[in-house]
Amino acid sequence: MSQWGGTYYSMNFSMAASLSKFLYECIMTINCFVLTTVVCGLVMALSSGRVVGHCRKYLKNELLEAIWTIVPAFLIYLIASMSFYVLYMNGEHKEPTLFHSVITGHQWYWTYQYAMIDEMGKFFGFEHDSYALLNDVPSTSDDDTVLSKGDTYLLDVDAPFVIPQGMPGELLVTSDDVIHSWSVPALGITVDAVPGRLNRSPILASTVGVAYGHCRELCGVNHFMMPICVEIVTPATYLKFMKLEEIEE
Amino acid sequence: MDRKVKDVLLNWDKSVPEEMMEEYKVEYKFDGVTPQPFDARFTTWNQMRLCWQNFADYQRCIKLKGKTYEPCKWFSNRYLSFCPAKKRNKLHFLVEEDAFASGKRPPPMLLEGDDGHDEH
Ligand SMILES: [Cu+2]
Repeated sequence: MSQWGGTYYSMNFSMAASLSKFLYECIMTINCFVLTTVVCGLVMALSSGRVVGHCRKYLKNELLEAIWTIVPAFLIYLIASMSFYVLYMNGEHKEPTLFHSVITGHQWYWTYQYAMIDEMGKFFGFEHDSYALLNDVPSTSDDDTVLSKGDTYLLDVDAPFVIPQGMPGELLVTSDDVIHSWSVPALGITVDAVPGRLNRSPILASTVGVAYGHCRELCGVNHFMMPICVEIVTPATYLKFMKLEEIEE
Repeated sequence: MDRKVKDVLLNWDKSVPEEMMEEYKVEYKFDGVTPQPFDARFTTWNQMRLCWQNFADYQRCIKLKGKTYEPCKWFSNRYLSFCPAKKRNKLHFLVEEDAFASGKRPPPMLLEGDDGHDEH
């Protein structure tokens, strides 16, 4: 989670997020180099007293032209090679999937559906809704969307989405009404929730913790109050959590 | 010649050296969970068709073999994992109304904006 007043990205909880951050840092380094070089050249050209006479050196200078063609081409090759590496590393798991979760966007809350098959081939699955914690005082007697001490306003939810750490899984994101987007930067995942489509995304969390996100597609007046809270637990805890409830087919 | 090819195809695992076989063995174990393989029929990012296909296969399976037939559970596990609740309810409603055309194309009622048919 990002810290108050922080200027950098949030903590990484998966390989995908680490790779994205790595790509950002590499491209930023190259950008700084390019910016410095170009600004230095401009300042040198403009600040030499006799501008016209100085610039005559640039005319028909074949060596200079060769350099300013080859160097940018090489930089673009560098950026492309890194971004292709990150693109294909984020694509698909090598290992078979161990759990599936269907995420449905609604105006304005998320529904999480869990599915897992145990070693005996028995199916375990259930679903729950996840609302933002908005109220200071309960509006009705059975209102559980109340902020308690330590909860973050517009980030914490009443029932967070639970995923296991170190188990490759698959998210299937869809919507019931308008387009939403399920996005958790700390996991390196953003999937559009489009009605009628079931978008697939592999997921593999590398550490235990709590990751936050928001809906990333403007979806109506209460777009701001459908946060995402992902709790990454150990595999043993996840198995216990899965076996508590099951849906009848 | 043909016969040789056929022999190789039938006994491919014996024609490969032991050391090479070791390399291709998938060693993936996790206590308490059965891994789910990738379905190569549905390679698109949109998996709505996988949901429908497995539901149809499940209906066909129980029609042929009965609900107690163990292998049918494969399809039911699959569609319960992949189908969103709204879609699942819609498909169950169709089966209850005896309107689910198993083995044929989905009826127009299903095509009405709630079925991923853009990958055809
Ligand atoms: Cu939304």
